[in-house]
Amino acid sequence: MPTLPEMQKDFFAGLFSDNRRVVDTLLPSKTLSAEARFDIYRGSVSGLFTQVLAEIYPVCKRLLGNRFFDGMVDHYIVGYPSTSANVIDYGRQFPEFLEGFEPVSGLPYLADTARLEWVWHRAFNARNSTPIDTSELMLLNEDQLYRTVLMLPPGTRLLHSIYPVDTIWQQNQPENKQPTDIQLEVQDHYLLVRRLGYEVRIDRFSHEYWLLLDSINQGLTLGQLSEQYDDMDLQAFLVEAIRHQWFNDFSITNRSLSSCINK
Amino acid sequence: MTYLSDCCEASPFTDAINGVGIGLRSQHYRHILTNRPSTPWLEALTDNYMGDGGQPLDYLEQIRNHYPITFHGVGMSLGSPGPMNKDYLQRLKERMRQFEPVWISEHLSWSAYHRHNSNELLPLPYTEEGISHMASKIAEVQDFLGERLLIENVSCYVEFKNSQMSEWEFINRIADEADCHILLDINNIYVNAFNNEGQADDFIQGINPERIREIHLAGYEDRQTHLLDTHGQAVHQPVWHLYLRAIERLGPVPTLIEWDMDIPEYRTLQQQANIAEGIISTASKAHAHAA
Repeated sequence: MPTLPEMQKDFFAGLFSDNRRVVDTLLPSKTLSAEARFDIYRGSVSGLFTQVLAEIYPVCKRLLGNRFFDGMVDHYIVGYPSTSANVIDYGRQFPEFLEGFEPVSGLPYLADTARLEWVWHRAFNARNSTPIDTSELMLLNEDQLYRTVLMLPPGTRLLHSIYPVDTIWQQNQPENKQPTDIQLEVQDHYLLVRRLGYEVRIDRFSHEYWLLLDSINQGLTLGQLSEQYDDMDLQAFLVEAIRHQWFNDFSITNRSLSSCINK
Repeated sequence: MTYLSDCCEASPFTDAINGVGIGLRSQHYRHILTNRPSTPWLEALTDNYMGDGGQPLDYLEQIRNHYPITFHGVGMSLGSPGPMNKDYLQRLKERMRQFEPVWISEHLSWSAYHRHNSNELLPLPYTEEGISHMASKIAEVQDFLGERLLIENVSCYVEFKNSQMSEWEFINRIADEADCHILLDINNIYVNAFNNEGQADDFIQGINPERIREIHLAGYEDRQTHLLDTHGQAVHQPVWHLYLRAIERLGPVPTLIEWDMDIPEYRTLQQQANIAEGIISTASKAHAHAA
């Protein structure tokens, strides 16, 4: 008889592959063979992950239909096993999987739609944050402003797609019973996904504002932004950013112009 | 080893777990906060509150201001080979500080094999090796958390050829060796007895009453060849009967109604709780009469 770790190795392998060595260590019942009894676990694991992915990717599921989605998910489960104790972490690589899954190659927008659903899911479960008191920002002097880094709410993500995935997402929400046709002409779409209170918002941006937000997200100070984007009206951007709560906190770094020169 | 729960108050609701509670599910957050049903306590599924933030954590914060809560987890994977998942335990410890559950429970099972996770409650053979493995893992977790765990008997669809003892003997021995408590799932006892052609009453008679702190009740699904523990239906009649016999032997152990699939209105769960309350009351009258 195998030791406990040996049995566990075989049991686990049997859940995700055709390896059936573990069946030799099991007894049949009056109604089921040892293999059929083991397969109850295979069905249960598959059912759980299918449900988890359906909850994270409801738009993909609606686009593909229940039967196709469930069948496709079985391939994902085998190729991308969970590595987390918590199922809310499962499914991150689903968009990459879709890109390589030949039967959906006729739906080129699907992987980016899945990317949007994943960042929505992460934003929904992101750390809570209290919005900025913008009056404090107004009190900063020029040197402090130069060294200020704006911070986007936790879980905020910037997405770029050549397909209108935000429209696809909106049109395929459960309350939308009859989606209208979506024009799929290839064109750049720049999106920001963030949570305001409990609401996850998906907003479309101009390319230049999206680049600015991306630079802010990478930790550039307002001083660095003004140098990098000297042809842009940063003041107007900040007014808009405060009004729409694109960022919700700020910090002042030590990266001052003078300290750079002194070094 | 002295655990926190033995020496100081962990929560304003310490010792407040009595009667029949209900498993807290997100579908009922608003109903509970708006209507404040008279449910004596609620059990939160720990793993639903392991995210960084958002709605679930905020709701739990509000709800625990009005109800005693317990934590029930599925992600600890106590029986896995290798070291315990320290990140998971650390996060759990943070959540315990934040929400102060009266107690925490986990399953007597395993889910992960090294890096990979099935996120399923997988069975163990009932062997001496299994006892020492599980007991040392539970002791390690208890030392880390500073709390005694309740461990739950799981539904099991296979039988291992190398099992050396009954399930209840396996659980009793682990609970003694790890010095932990037991959460008795009556539905799982019934499902396992049916699937493995055993006697559910043998389990009730064999389990050590001294260590039992909580009972779970839920509904199974009849798949003809076997019963599947889906938590998707009302408690079945034979499980109610078994529950009555358990309460007759164990006394009025705090009991929880669980429902996880096709979750109905809160009222339906309250009706299930009322049945359980009635059974506890019948059993205690019988006790008093016998005395």
